[in-house]
Amino acid sequence: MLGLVLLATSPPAAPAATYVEIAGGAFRSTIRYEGNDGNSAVANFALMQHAVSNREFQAFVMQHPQWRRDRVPALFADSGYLSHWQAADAPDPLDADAPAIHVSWFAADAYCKAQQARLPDWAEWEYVAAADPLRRDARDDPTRRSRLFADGTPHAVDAGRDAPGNAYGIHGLHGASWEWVGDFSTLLGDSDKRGGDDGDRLQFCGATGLSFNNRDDYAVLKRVALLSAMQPRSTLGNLGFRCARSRP
Amino acid sequence: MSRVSHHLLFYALAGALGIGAPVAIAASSHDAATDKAAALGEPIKAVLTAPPLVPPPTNRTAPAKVVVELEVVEKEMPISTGVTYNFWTFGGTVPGSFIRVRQGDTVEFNLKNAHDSHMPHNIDLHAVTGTGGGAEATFTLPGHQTKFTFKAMNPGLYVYHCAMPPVGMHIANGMYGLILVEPPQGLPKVDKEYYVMQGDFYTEGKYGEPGLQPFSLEKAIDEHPTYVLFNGAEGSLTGDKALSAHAGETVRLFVGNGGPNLVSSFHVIGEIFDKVYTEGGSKYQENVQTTLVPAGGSAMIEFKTDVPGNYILVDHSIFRTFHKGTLGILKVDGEKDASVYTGQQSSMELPPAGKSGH
Amino acid sequence: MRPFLAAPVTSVVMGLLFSLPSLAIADELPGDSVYQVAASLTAQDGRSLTWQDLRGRPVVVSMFYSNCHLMCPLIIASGKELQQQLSTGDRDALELAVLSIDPVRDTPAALQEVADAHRLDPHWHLLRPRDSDVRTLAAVLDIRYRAQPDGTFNHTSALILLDRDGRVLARSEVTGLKPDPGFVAQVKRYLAASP
Repeated sequence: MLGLVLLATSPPAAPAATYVEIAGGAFRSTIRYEGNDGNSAVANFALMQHAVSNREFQAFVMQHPQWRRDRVPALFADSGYLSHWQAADAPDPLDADAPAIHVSWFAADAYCKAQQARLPDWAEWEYVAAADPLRRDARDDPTRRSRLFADGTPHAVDAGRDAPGNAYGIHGLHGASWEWVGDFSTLLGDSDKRGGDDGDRLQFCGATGLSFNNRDDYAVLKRVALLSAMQPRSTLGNLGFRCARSRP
Repeated sequence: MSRVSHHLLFYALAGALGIGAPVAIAASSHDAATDKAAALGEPIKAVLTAPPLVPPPTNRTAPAKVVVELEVVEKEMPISTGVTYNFWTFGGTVPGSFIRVRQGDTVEFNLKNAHDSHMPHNIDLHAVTGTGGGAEATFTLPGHQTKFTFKAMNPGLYVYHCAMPPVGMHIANGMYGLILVEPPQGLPKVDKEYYVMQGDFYTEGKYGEPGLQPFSLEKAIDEHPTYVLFNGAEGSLTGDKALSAHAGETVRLFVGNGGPNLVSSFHVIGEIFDKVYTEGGSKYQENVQTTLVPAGGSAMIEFKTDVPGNYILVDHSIFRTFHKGTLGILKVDGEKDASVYTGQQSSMELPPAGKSGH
Repeated sequence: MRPFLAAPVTSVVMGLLFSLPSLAIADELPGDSVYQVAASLTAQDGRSLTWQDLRGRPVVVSMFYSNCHLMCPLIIASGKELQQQLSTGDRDALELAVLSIDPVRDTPAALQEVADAHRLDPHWHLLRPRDSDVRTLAAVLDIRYRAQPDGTFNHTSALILLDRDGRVLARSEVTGLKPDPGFVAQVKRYLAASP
């Protein structure tokens, strides 16, 4: 009897998330900062196989009740935070496995830290998201690129639960939800500060105009436009996240 | 804090995409605008209309404070028979709501972005003098709203459109409309006013291919549209949606061209434009058959209908009309007048081909 | 000059508390206080403290890194010039905290060198966060930074005035050797309004 009572009141167990080891390598980002051509190397790291789900986020909120929507400070989340949950501590059971949404950057950052992890950098996210189910870098395929216009909408290629993983074994990167990255706030540079002795060098110490290596990659342009418009406390109904871990 | 980041974003992305970005960040002086507005009397809430209708004349004789509220809605709608498209709209329609103000008005502009939009949007109104035409002040995330205030300093018929990168895609998906800034004395009275806006659309499938058609970037870059349409859908101005007038009435067409790419050679078959305010400006040309409406531009056209009939609105780059859908109808009813137009008076055979040859 | 930093024992206890990945004890902090971020820091003299330990006095805060030769000297110069423009009493009441965005290279020794080179008085605290906390602190302070391949950083530079409870009262982008007069005026106003 006591056992049943305990079962009824304990938080749902969320199994530990699966992380996939990602072998780093040379990578030509679609984003180019002044002074470099976008060619960089991504170091080895590990990435969550799936985006964090509502069930997983609920377990986190139960263990860290300061992240309940009725307790979270205004500094860390806006009024949309977890607004889709049926209660301050419970998502809709039908949505339990769906990617967590209506989470702010601060909430995602805290969740990942609680897993001894972190949010992926844009470069890491882009590196893995360049893949389709067969190729590690499918970006030269115009058909593939045009299907990614639906990212962030219910028509996205990875929106379905049974969408296949990509060539790295990662699922859902081009799904119905966009995903936070750790350095989203640097997805821009002040390309304009002309005039003045040191002109643009002062505003963003060292000056970084952001430009795009491939103006045709509208899917990336849209993603950058969205992420760079966000504030760290903002939440959206189609913005979730997954965590990453550094590897030595 | 957010203002700084939006300035940076606007310039960074505008610069990245090669759009000339103005040098100075305009310091928005919220308090000064509010003080001046206080002298304008009670704010007036702007009446917005869905195409093809136009709000009534302001009938004002002095500048006023006008409040505009416009919401961005992304929605799937028919583009042709059996074909749908994911449009991004201002006010739920393509083109977006028609806005009507008067020269000298102080306009407080509130832009909302619906909760279920998947992208941030903004607005650049060509009637605005100021950074980005309002674009840098109106970065609006889904489920949010932004506000800025501008003075309508110049009269004219102006295009507005979304300027969120990638700009071409936002415009190609239908994010444009018209704002009329009336001259101080107002426009001369006419019997009918209508709102018509041409746009080119780019889909993966061919013209008429059924189902939900995705946007084709390749076709947009190559400027090979699948559809070229008035008011965002084939048939938007035909059948029971045709424009109407009675013979003898004066008609004013507010014609816009959202592009994103094509220029329009606007013509109404069977009519002559008595006055065309070319490019939506203050001077008019008279007795015009076909007028050019630039992409991102407009023309204000006035004519008096004289005899009944079906007058066809076309883009006289004529293959578009017959193969891509650029066709609308103005139905004029009323008394025939043979002194103006008789219709066919006779039809008979020629004499047999004889020694004269041919 | 009254020492500001908490006694070492308290620091150790606070340090232990904040090795847990959770929010600071937030009950008394206002909902918009930046001190709600849990972060442990090391000062230029090697002492440990938490971000929340700065609570209780007005603070002008910024972020920099010691290898920065363009903006960062201007941040420090602006801060010193701000101090110069205050009365002695006001100067005594204001702390200045600059957080490093490069904790790997900005060891306490490196930070002490910066403090010595600029002859910073004891009101200056050059603080090294844990690597995993830099982004979170930058996020609450709206400072943007990006590491370059050559070890330098691109970053925005601002002086931010925090009230005693860590609420942002004023902010000024650093553009030269002198702080923005409007910002200075706001600092003076706050110091005058509170005993």
